[in-house]
Amino acid sequence: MIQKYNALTVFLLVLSMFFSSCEKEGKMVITPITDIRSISFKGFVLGDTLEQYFDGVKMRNFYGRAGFTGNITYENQDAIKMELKKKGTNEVLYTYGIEKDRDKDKPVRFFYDGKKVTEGYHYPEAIEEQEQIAFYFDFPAGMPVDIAYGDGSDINAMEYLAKNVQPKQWTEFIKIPQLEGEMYVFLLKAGKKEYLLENDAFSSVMSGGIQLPNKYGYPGGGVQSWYVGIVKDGTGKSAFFPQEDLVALFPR
Amino acid sequence: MKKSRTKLFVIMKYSTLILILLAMTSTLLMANVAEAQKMSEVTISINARQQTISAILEEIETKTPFSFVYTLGEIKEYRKVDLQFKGSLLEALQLLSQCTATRYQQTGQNIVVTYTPVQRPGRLSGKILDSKGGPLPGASLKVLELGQVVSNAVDGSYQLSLPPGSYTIEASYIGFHSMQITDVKVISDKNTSLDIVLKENAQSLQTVMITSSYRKASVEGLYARQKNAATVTDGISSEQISATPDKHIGETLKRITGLSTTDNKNVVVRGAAERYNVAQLDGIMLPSTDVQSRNFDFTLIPSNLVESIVVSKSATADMTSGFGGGLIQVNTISIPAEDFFSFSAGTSFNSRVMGKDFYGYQRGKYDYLGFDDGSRNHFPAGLKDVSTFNPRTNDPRNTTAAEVAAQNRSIGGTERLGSRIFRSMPSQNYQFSVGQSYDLSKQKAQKIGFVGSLSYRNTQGIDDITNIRRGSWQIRATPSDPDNINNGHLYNFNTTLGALLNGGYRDGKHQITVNNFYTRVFNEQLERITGWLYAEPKDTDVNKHPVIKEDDRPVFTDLLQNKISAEHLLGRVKLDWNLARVSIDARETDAVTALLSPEELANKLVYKYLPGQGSAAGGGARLERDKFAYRERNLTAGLNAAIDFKIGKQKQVFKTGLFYLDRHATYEWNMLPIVSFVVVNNPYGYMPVQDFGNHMDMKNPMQDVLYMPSSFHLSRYEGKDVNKAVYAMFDNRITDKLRLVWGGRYEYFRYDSLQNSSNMQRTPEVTLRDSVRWKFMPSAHLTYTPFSNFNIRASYARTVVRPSLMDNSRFSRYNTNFGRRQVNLGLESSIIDNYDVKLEWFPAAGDVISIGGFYKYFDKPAEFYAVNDVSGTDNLYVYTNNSDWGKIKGMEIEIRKSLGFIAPSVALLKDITLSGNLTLLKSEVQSRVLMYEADEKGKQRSHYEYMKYKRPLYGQVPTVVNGGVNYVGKHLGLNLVFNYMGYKTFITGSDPNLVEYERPRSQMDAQVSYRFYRNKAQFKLNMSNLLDAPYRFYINDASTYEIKNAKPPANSEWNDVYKYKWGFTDKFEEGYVDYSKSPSEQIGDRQTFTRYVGRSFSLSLSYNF
Repeated sequence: MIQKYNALTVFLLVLSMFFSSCEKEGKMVITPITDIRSISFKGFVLGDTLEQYFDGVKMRNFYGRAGFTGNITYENQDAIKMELKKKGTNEVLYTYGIEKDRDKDKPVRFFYDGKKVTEGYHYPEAIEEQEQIAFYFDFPAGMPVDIAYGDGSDINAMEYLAKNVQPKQWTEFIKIPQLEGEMYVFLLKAGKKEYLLENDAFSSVMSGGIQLPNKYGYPGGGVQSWYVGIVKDGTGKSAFFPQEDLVALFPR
Repeated sequence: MKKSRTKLFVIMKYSTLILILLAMTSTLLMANVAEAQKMSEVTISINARQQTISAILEEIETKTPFSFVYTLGEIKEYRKVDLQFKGSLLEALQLLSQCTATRYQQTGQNIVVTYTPVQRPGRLSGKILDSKGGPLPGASLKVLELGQVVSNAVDGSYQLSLPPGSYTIEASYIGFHSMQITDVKVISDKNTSLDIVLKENAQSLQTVMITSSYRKASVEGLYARQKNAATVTDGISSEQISATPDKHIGETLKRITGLSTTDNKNVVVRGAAERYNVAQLDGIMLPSTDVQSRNFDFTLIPSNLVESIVVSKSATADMTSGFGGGLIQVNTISIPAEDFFSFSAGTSFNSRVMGKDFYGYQRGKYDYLGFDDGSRNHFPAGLKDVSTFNPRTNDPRNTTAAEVAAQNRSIGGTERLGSRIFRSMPSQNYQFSVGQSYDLSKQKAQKIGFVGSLSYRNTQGIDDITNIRRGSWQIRATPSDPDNINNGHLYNFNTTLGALLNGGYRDGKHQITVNNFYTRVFNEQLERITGWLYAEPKDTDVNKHPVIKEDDRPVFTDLLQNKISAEHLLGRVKLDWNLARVSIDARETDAVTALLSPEELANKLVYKYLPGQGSAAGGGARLERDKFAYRERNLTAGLNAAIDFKIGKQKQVFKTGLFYLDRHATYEWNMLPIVSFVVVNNPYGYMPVQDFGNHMDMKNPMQDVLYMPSSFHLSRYEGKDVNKAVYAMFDNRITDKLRLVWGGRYEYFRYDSLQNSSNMQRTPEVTLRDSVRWKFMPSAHLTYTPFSNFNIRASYARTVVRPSLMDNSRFSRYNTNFGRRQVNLGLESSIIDNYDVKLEWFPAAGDVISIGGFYKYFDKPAEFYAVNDVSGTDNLYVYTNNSDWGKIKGMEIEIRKSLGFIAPSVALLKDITLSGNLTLLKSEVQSRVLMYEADEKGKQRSHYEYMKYKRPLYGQVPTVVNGGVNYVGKHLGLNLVFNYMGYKTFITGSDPNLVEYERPRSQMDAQVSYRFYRNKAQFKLNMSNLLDAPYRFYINDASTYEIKNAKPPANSEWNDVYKYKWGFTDKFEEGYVDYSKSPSEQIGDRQTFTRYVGRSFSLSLSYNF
């Protein structure tokens, strides 16, 4: 009798384990996207890396120019919380609720100046026939520069816009009147008659779209704010990249 | 536990003694008072139903003047009984005595009750052998104490049922010295095994009696079997298997010298890869369980049904299967030595499975039972090529949308597609076995018996693939970006059902057995890899995120073997024959390959199943569901006759026989690319793939989804071969110490392709055929035995390894094992000349110390070699083809020694065995490349170009080490096993950039077993892969070599042009990062594949009823 009871117990245990194992459908790995809307972000992050989170899920890092154009999906939600956090400290610097019925043609904008996040970048009003240009060089420490302009034929003929500009610091908006001819902006080693990169005019010219006003072409009256980085290319040579005009990124 | 039980018995015995003494003392005291009544004079009426003995005795006490004296514990153990009686007390107690195991003795007014359980008989079984290990059928066996005489069976075996006790056994046979073995212990309900070796009598018929002890005789029996094999063999017996906790023979094989296993599943013999080894079940060759390569999955055969496993490393003429490494002969039990009825249940946990998500496609209702519920059946008969469908043109010759819609409907929807997450479950296994035998006549050893078994096992495994850089995946690592990695998992869901039913009859002259083996395996394997493709390497723009590739393969496999065989002793002729049918049916139904594309939404990264592009061939292999059905049927017949005779004083044997094998196979494939012609505003990305089937009515032909097979997607292979052989061989005892087994086998082989379609649009021609139909294969094995426990062996044998039928199919497919597409170029048979020398010393029973050397010459060895179809792309294939020749030379050392010799008086040391073996080998191959050219008339011709430089043979492992320590006590068993495999040539190639190696790997397993409940129950704890060492593969990357000759001559090979950089060889060198490059580069060998399988812990409990 006891043996039969033991056998039955074992059989029932086996049976319960066997049937507890049966699972046919499982949980879908790829869930359907049912509510999708267009969205874009435009921003700029200076001097540090920010992390973008949506409803607590990290999506991307931003450093320098930040942008995204695509879609956002809502799953039974009216709004999605976007957060910008400082990398490393996880400090939330900015929170923004993205409403479901928001204007899809209006991008979400943000600017981080290294300390705080704002919804836009502030720059001075334009002055007629005077160009106003600010510079920020995201260069390694100990790499101060002189900012000069000229036609590149003679380093001794360069005119200086600013001298001994330290890395990771904004210059003031330099007011530049109309020049006699088409001139280019060069970066020189601070205090030296020497081009910054390879002592080569071609390598050391700012070529990302900066314009100086002149009497025969672009008349000036605009505002420019240039962020300039530095990278090494595939051959090991340094180059100015990226070169971003924040005024163009944040039009009024 | 044991101690407390012993203590209990002692207390019970003393209490019984004290009770008897008390009773006797009280009798003496009572005698002075009055004369006691007799039990026969007292009448009583009892009507007890299902009462305990103690309750009945209490009732008697109330109705009579007697008192009972007994030990309560002993009586309480007894079952309940019925007793209806009216009469004298004496008669009542006699009746009670008959139906229970109690005895009653009157002492005055007291009745002393003693409990003497009836002992069941025990069994004595074994074989009667000559000094060379050959059976002596018809020998007689006498139990002197009982006068009982039996004859043994045709295979030399005998079995006796005897009351427990100690006996003297006498074995005799004409022309041999009779032998008396004393002190043979027969234990109730147990089998005592005793093989008896009789020595030949030079005085012919004169009887001489030799007396031996049981222990000595048993040892000699074991010796005889080990020493007297004709060839170089190794093996493991049922006694040795029963001392291990192995569930299936995949676990057992690695315990045999020179053998190692892959995943406890496939076997490598003397470093020779799986395809050079042949598996036989009960003498019949088993078909490959792997459709794409010749291989057998040994997990299919439960260990407890195996009588013995013998691995032959050299062939004799009577062996029916050719092999290059070893012939693994698995023999199951037909007529059991003792009746058994056992049940075992077990569960196991893997460190990489438990608590993890288990991915898989939709399961069927009966997947856990190993049966198909039909939900995968989307492949109706008569599927048509609809590749001409084009909604952009109106060509009336094209397939119409209506025709496509009708075919879509017949195929059905896509509900089953798309991976799901299931809960990981521990593995579970159950086995039920029964064996019975019946003696028809003890004098004539007539016996019938059967063995049956049913087993069930479900396992879930997750292999972690931490790195894959081969095949279609991006091969280049970027040290500056550690996130640029391809990785994933391999999910294995496996249900295995097994059934075995063997039966047979035997007497002194004849034996006939029927063997039936069936196994059904359902295996669903999902490979899910996340990474960047070769053609789309990681960048910061469109290929910022990795893609996901899913490859889901559900396969139902049925393997059925039916065999009838017989042995007859006709005077001096021993005749045996067999007929067998083996079939394998592997149905891979609704296998799905899918490429999931990433899309970065603002708030999440989503992956999308998308239909392929209808205008691209095969839809660009983006989404496809397939069916592959393989059926093979083998018919085997064999007839052997052996006659023994004497030359001088030495026994000689002549053996001859015929063999016939007919194989027929079909392989059918239905491959259904799922496509759409939509170009813009593709709506399917955000739609669940399960809903694609709702958009297949073709009402909107430019946008709807359709199944779009071409003719090459719907085709088949059919082939057959015939293998006939006749052989003759002699077993000559030249002197007492010298034996020569020699002979020849003349074999006919013919292969025919009945249909051989290709499933590739462009495929290399299958060109090779066996041009020579008849082959002669001689063999000779010389054994010199200078001392009784020492052998010197030398042997030569020519063997032939036949291709499996599918080796000549033009079907090709991505092989997850290789990470590349496997393409057959056609195989012809490989002829192997095997040379062996071996010294064997058997210092004690079960102990062996041996050293041997071997040399093998392969004519047309079959190999897997890699090619890059289009240089610089991911068009990597693995071709199966014959190289010109190959050579392997090697040595192996084996030591198996009990520690009893250290201190023979210490019992513990006798139970501990150390074992180890080492195999070292070196190989080289003359490889060749098939070249095509056109003659003046434009007709294509092919020829071989032979490579100048030799390389290792495919699949070779130059170093294999096995070591172990084993303790088998009365209750407790401990086993620790270590295995090391050195560098293995995984895939060969003409260029180091294509040759893939497997890095050395070590594995350690441990087992603890404990027998309890009168040794009827056994608990086992297995711990496998304790080191959790990964399987790692690599390629000697181009960054590790440099040009040595910038202007090489024409037809230069790699060695003419390149050399390894300083610090690099063909072994694995991780190298260094060159930071001077931007981005920085890894200079070192490319790690192509890394896979972890996890540590497993399994518990099982078995009970023998």
